[in-house]
Parts: sequence; C-alpha cells; structure tokens
Amino acid sequence: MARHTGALSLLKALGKVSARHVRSFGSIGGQNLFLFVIFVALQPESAAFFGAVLLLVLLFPLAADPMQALPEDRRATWPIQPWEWGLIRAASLLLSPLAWIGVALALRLGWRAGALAIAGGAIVQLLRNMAKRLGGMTGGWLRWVPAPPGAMGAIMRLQWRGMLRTLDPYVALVLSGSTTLYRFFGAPLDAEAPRIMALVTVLALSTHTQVLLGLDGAGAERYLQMPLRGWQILLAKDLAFLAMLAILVAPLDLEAGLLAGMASLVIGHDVSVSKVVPQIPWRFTTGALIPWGLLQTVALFAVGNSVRTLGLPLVAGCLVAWFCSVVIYGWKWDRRARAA
Amino acid sequence: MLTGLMRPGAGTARICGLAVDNPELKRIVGVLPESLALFDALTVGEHLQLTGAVYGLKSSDTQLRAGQLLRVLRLEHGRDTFIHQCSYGMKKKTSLAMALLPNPRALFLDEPFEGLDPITAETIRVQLRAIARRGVTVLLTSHILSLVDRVADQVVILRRGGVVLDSAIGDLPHSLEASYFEHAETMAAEDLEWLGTPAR
Repeated sequence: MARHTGALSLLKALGKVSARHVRSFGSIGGQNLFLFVIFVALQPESAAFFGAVLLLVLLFPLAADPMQALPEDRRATWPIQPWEWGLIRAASLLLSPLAWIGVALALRLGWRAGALAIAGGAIVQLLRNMAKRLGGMTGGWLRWVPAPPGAMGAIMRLQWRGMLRTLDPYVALVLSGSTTLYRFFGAPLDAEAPRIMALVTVLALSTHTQVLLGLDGAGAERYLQMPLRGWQILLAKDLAFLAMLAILVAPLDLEAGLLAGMASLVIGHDVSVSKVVPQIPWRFTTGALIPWGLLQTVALFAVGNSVRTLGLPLVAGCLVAWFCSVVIYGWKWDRRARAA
Repeated sequence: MLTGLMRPGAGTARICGLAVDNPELKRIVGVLPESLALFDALTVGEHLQLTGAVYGLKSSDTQLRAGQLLRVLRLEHGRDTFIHQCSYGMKKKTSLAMALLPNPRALFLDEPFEGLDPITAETIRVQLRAIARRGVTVLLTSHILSLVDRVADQVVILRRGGVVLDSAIGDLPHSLEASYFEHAETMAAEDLEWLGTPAR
C-alpha cells in the first residue's frame, strides 16, 4: 500500500494547485466591470449577457489542463508507475474547473449547455497548446506590439504588453466587437446604445488606471532607478491606456469613450501611485473597488453621458483635470521614489 | 541610500560630487538591485533598448553597446527571449547589462556573480577591474569570496548591521574566506546521520 501513496499524494497536491488556480480568479472581485454586473443583475437579461461575456473570456485560463502544474522534468524523475500516471491523468480531469462548470451548466440549463461548455473548453485547450508551440517558435505574439520612438515610447509599449497580459482588454474587445457587429448586421439599435456600450467598454478597461505601475510587476522598482520624472512615466502610461481605449471605442463613440477614459485616469492615479499592487498575468486586473472603482464608475458614466449636452467646456475641463492629475501624481511618485 | 533610492534620515553623502538626494544622481550611477527589477513583458534586448532610451543614448550607440554587452556576457542567444522565459543567470546578466549600458561613473552591484557560469563570472570580474582602473567606483556585495578576493581593493564585512572588518585586501592577515569565518559566521557542524544510511 505504501508503494502507492506517491500517486495519492500527487493527486492531493494537484487538487491543492487546482484550488489555488481557481482562487486566483477571485481577482475579478476587484474589477470595475464586476461591480457593474452586480448592479445590472437586477435586470436578469442584461446580467446574462455580461455574465456570458465574462465566461467566454474566462474560458481560456479556466480550460488549463491541471496536469500542466506538474513540471515535466519532475514527472520523468519520480518513481511513479505508468499505470499510476494513467490514474492521475484520469482523476486530474475531474480537478479541472471547466469540468465543474460543465456539470453546473448541465444541471441548471440541460446537458447540451454543459456539453457545449466542456467542448468549448477542449477546443480552447487545443488552441492554447497550438499557440504555446507557435509561441515557442516565435517567442510569443506580444513581441509584435510596436514601440513609438523615445523613452516614453518604450514605456508605452511596456504598458500595452502589460495590459494585454490581463483579461480586461479581451472583455472590452468582446463588448465593443459584439456591439459593432450587431450595429451593422443586427436589428436597429437605440440611438443611445453605442454610447452606453462605449462607456461599458471603458468600464471594462478602467481598472487598469488603478494599477498603472502594478502592471509591471517586479519591474516597477526599475522606475525608481530611472532618471525620469514621475509625470513622464505617468504620461507615457496614460497615453498607452488612451490609445488602446481609442481603438476599442472608435466604432462606438470615440469622444465619450476617451473623455470617460480620462475621468477614470484622474481618479485612478491616486491609487496607482500610492499603492503599487503587482498583477497576476492572464487574470482580471484587481484594484480597489470601494471607493475608487465606485467613484470611477460614477465619474466615467457622468462624463460620458454629459458630453453631448455640455460639449466643449466639458472636453476642456477633462483635459485640464487630466493634465493637473498627471503633474500632481507625477510629483507624488517622485516624492515616493525618494522616500522608498 | 547611496544609489538615491532612499532618503538619508540624517547627515549627508555624496557620490561623484552629487548629494544622494539629487535626482541627477540617477544619471551617473548604475545599479544591479537584489530584485533585478526586470519587466516580464520585455525581451532581454528590449530591456537594453529601454535603458538606452531612458538615459538619452542615440539609438545607434544603444545598439552598438547592447550588442557588445550581450556578446561579453554570453547572452546573445537570449536577445529575443522574454524575461519570464529566462533562467536566473540570464536575468542576472540582463540586469547587469542594464547597469553598465549608460556608462555610469559609479556602479552598485548586489551579488553580481551569484547564479552565473564560471566563465561569465570571470569575464565580469575582469571587466570590473578594467573599469575600476579607468576611474569608475565599483561597490559590490557578494558571498562568493573567492571572486571578491580577486576583484576588490577594499573589503568591508558586515554582521548584524555593523561593520566587523574594514581593510584593504592586501592588508588582510589571512585569506578573505578565513577572515570571513573569523569575523562573520561559523559553520553549522551537525551530521545528518540518515543521509547515506540504507532505508529500513
């Protein structure tokens, strides 16, 4: 019996790793869109749409094979029999969060929904493996993110890559893309709908404004050693955020989207500079939902919805507020850097 | 504190004539921090490009220096590798190359030899001696005493926050290792009896 406790221990360890893997998705609790989804849950049809969008994006990290948690070199050196590996392989499938989601959907919505989720997960896993192999050859698609010239450009590229290594932009892309497609190919939309969806897209990306430095992980410490002023670092990161946002909201409502993005940055600078929280790659960005996320949600909807009525004075006001915020929080970062 | 990362609580200190709280200090010192402070989302080569841009080097100079540094540090093969895919040694070399690239007037290196292959460690030792001869101040911390013995002019041994030895390397009465054991640490001498004993 003692000879086979190794396989059992391995399964236990895999269970622990899987549980931690699932817990890491708790970062969604600090994402501004999550707050919005809770609000709209009062209207179940809307909540179902946003829930489906989140699930679609989560499908990619959730579909990870639990066996990948065991390093291949370890597998080769441990004294475990081939038949034991077979048992571990079979049992590990039950540890996949996707299997549990499939079962839950099957119980709630019928076996077709459950089978669809599991089949979707299997396809995603296949795509992931293919991308991994391709990534091994090309070094990953993120290397194709371009850098504008100069030091600011290099920081902008870094910010884009940091953003693209979280799930937030993909939720924003699905929201923006699905609305755009529906706008052109679906039933006529309410005149206000593109603007509202542009603002929801901003909301999906807005948590990034609370972690402008945290997205760099351990690299954030490097800024303390660089001969750059805080405002230069913040400006580069803000411009990167606004550029990505512009691409996402351009088909919906560029003006409202960008002004809402600026409002989000003005509020996000404080928490970005005062608390550098490293983010987990390929998870939702996590910020401070209360009060900053709540404030950002209110501010970006207020600004985005007022742009038609208030016009140029609002545009000027947003630009001035953003500029002042970059200068003030840049100065605060410099002070923090000297007192680190 | 000497790199300008921490503000002194009291007193003053100057590096190359600049007070340690002068922001311009960052332009003239190169730092290899303990954490390495690297960006997961950049490749090795892109870290050097970023450094060149931040320190205001011309793109052609950055490329030239980066190519030479990667060659000397035997890191050319990893130029296009993302940091999160690099080994510890590659990360250490990248951080070291970032410290050297802007041609600093003072270098602060935290464990520069740790995790490196013997040839690269020796290459770095030779380079550090060469730049010190050209007037660059090099302050390094290391536990690899056999290399410190051959790179340093002056050694300081710290124990629990206090200086227990401060001497020119040539004035040491014994080898550096012997001095270290004398002043800083004693070895644990516990025998692990179960190692090598057949399992029951």
